Amino acid sequence: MRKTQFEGLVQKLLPRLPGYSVSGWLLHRSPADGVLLGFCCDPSGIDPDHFALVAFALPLFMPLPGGFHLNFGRRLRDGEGREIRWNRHGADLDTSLPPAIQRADADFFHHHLAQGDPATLLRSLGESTDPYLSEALAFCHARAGRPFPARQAIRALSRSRDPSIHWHNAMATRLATLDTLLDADPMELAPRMKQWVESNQSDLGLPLTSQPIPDMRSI
Amino acid sequence: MNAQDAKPLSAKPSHNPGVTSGEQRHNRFLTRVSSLNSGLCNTDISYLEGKVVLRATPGSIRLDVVAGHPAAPVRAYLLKTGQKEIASHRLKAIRRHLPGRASVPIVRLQP
Repeated sequence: MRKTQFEGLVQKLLPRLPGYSVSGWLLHRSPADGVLLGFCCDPSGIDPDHFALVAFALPLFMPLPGGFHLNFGRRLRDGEGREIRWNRHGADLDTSLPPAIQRADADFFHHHLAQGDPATLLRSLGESTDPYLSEALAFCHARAGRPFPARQAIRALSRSRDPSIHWHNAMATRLATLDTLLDADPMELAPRMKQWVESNQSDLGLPLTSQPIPDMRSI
Repeated sequence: MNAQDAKPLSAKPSHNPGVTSGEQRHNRFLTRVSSLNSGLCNTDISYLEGKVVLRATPGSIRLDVVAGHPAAPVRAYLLKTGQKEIASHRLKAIRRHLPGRASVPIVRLQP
């Protein structure tokens, strides 16, 4: 399946998916509060007509070298735990795809949209042993004015770092930046996070929206 | 999942001359794993620097099946339809990009 084919397919379904828009492989909500939510098309390597969907969340208020990733995501499965794969020519696409998306939207995103804490959302979609989740949680805590758990996450990652792994070192550099901001210049955090949101949205080809980044509380 | 899942797969003549029997076996194997109702296995996952990325992302490696959450797999499976072992450069690349690196067993399945 090609990107344009997915876009064309989903475009037709958008009236039944209020709040969503399509951009490349992503069917997403408007980024709100610095978090991108949605579904990513996962084209099959088995059959060019088949695809799966991954419900994902991506925090935009932190550096995202390499851009989009699916670490905070789950493939849509049926009631019995089987991966759902759709055929883009399937006769049941119109009847099966929107309800599956609506169900997953309710299961994965509604709680977050009501409560608004990205840390809870990322934990629910990610895996606790994933260092990228710990990194994202450090940024979530820092953003929410919770410096103690932010520093705890930074220290834990620092202890588990393997210097022989290139991406561990890159992560350590990003976390050192966060640590410095928390220690020396907490008032700089909000504008810095706003910059990251804007640059990530631009890199992902998403329309820039002016969105409030919560004030840093007593850091 | 165990190696038994791969056993009944046999090569059949392809109707598409561009599709090799190895590809057919891969397709049938992955289709079968996808239909397992374990909720634990994920097929066709690509990785780059410890991250789960979109298929065909430049520089990424792809695994046929991973057990556990894709962001922190506990086991990875590669179907090899030929007689050769997994090439050492491929194993090295997988280890470089797979989260957990050496701690994640990479299992070669042979139909």
